[in-house]
Amino acid sequence: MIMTKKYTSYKIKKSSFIGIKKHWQLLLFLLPGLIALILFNYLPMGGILVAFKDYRIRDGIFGSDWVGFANFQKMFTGMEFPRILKNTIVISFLKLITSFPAPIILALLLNEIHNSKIKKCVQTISYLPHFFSWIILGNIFTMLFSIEGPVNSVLKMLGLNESIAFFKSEGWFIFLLIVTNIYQTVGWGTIIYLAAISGIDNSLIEAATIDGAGRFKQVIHIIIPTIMPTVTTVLILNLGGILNAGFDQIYNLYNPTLYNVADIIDTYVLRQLSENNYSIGTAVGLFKSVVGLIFVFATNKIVNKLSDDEMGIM
Amino acid sequence: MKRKLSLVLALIVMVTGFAGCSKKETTTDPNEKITIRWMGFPIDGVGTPDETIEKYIEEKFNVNLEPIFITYGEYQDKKAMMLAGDDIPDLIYEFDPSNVVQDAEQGFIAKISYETIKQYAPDVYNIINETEPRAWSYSRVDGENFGIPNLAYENNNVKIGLWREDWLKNVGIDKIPETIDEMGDALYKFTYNDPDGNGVDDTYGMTGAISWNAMFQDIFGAYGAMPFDWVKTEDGNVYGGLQQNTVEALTTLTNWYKQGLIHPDFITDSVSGTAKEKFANGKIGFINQLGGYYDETDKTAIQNLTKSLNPNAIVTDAHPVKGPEGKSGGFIWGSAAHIVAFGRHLEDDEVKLQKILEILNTMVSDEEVMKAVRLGEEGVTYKLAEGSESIADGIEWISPYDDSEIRNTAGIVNNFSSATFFMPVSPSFEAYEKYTLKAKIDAYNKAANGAKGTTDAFLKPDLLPSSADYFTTLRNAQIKLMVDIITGTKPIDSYMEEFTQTWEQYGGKILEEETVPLAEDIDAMLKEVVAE
Repeated sequence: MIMTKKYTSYKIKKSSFIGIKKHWQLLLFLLPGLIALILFNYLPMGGILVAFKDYRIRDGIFGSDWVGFANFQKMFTGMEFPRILKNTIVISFLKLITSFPAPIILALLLNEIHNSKIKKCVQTISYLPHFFSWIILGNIFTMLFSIEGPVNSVLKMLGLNESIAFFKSEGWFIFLLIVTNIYQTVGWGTIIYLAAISGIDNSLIEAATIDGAGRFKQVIHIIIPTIMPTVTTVLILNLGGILNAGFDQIYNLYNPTLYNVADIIDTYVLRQLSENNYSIGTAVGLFKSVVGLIFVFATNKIVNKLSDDEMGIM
Repeated sequence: MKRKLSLVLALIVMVTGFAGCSKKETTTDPNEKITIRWMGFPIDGVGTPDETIEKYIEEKFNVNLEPIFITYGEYQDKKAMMLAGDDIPDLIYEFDPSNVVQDAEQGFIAKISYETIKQYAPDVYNIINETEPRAWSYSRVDGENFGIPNLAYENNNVKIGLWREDWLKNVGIDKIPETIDEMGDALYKFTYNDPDGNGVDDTYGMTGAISWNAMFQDIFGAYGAMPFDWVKTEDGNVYGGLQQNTVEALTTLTNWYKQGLIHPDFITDSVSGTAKEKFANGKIGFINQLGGYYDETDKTAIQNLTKSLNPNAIVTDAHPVKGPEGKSGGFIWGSAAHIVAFGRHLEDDEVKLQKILEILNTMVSDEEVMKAVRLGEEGVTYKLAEGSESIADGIEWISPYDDSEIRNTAGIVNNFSSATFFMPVSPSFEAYEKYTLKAKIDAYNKAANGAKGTTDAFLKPDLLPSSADYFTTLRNAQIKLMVDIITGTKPIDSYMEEFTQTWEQYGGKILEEETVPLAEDIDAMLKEVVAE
């Protein structure tokens, strides 16, 4: 920490031009990345204009007529909007409170395994679903959870009288979304926490062991407090995506009977885009981003307050 | 999917930001060799295009052909990007009337009058008028014409079901069920009389699918019901889901489900996916839609699949069963298929437009040309099979064209029913019957037994201007209600009341009102096209 501070203050004293002249070769290395960033991350932001225009492809973004907030008005007053907003928030919130703590718990458990072969094995198996596309997972889960499928057979053997219609009952479908989401994301999520845990100074653990702290006490008093900044960062970033309820997953699992609970903002946007309603599609996208940004700032502020500026991303 | 879309969108946005300064205004000099940029029906070929047919057309018509090959799966995205980037081909293939509306409104495709088509492509024009003049509504936007529709004769066929004939014999039935009651009886015995003789109660009668255009369409058809379509009545066009015969069909389905004849997983089944697997695996004994002619060498054909898993299986075609009033059939798309459109710049380039129309017309009127642009050259790409007297008796591909991948990259298709890359317009019905494999037509005629399918009053229910705004919600609510009734969650008596309420709440009335001007417009259009 101290080193970098010293270095930056030293830099500022000198004229920045001399710095550029001296290190221009190094700066040249930066250029491709910078161009890519501007080209693919900043230039497309100009597309936001589409949300405020009656966009016609042939006239281009600048040639299309301005319509002010008409696209937003159409979106908010549309008969589908209250439903898709409610569904998105419900699904996304339930996913957050289940899929957010799951990798933390798994990482803590994995940390307690000292046989590195078993640990690696478990880790690899738990990552694996992350690499499966939902097109494949969707088919697998449809078969597994069908009425005549293996899951229901097992439940029947355990004494359940009636099969569960996962793909017809709205409540069970949400349950299925949550469970399969945990299955897909839990392993991948542990990577960052395991990295944070491995960064913990071993002398802290040793000192605690000498003081007679058991495994559980170590976790509570050393490991969790040390990985807390990582946890809050991940939480803040997750909240930024609060209006992403998981398009790929839902699109590959739902059917018309579940439309009432499973039609989300993204499936709505897809319908708009397939009808060439780019303006509405962009307006909805912008709305999502703005809400996400508000959530990021708000949680960051709250985290800052609660931790006396120790934690947070800004 | 979402990422892909957003990428497409971002690229469109970027490209069009810079577009607009590079408009090229070209008219063709009649003395020059014309170059035609041709984006016909997408093909599934990957790799270097084979130029056999391309060369043939270039020589025959003295033009320079620039084919734009795009695979089927990428077609809509790539087409949108090309058009948005002001890279507009001369000939553009459109799959759906809604695409024509979009591209016409965006100014990508050319207006083309019926007179022009009649004058320069009279045979193309007449074939549509003789078979399905309503198809012209597919290329019509605000009372004006933007292309030439084409036909797919096989889509006019009623959908053929399949029975496990060995199962029927095992449960003591010696003929293929012909009425809805006989069908119910057979399904009952399939479910309870252990048709596969394995001593375990593990079979069902049938399954289903719940997409609007596939859901139990043969059963609804037996009652003359079209639950998701517009039906022409004396009081104008009525939505089939609001008619009493829909309730009658639902009653039968509800009883069958209650008796356990319908597989409980029908909600997640799809006809060519899990339903097909269930049939092939001997879990169900009847399946709708997948019957008819099949290629004996195609391992994925349901008939071959079933026999490979159970050598004793006998799979037999069946025409749709008759209901209490003798009706049968059910929803079909009808022969009207897609649309060929032309780039906007051809509005100012009569020479080129006329040349393209002339080429299209020759493909239809000259059978030698037709064969060459569909099958390639006889003796080079194909020859008649041993014992064959004509193409309809069967052909053999000559190496390397015996590889279907190579055929795909060459745009070669042994099919005279619908559009191909190089021939995006329809052959005449006579040519279809003359060149289509006889075995295929015979198999169909034997199975259909005179049964006919029914089309929507507008061919596609989505032809209404506001359909995109309301039909998704309406259809999904209707499907959910039907599933609830079939599975016994809701009583059958509640259907009419509840659906009427949904219909009024979610914009059904607006759609209903739109049917009146649309019907008038189509009537006006028919007068215009058929008029001499």
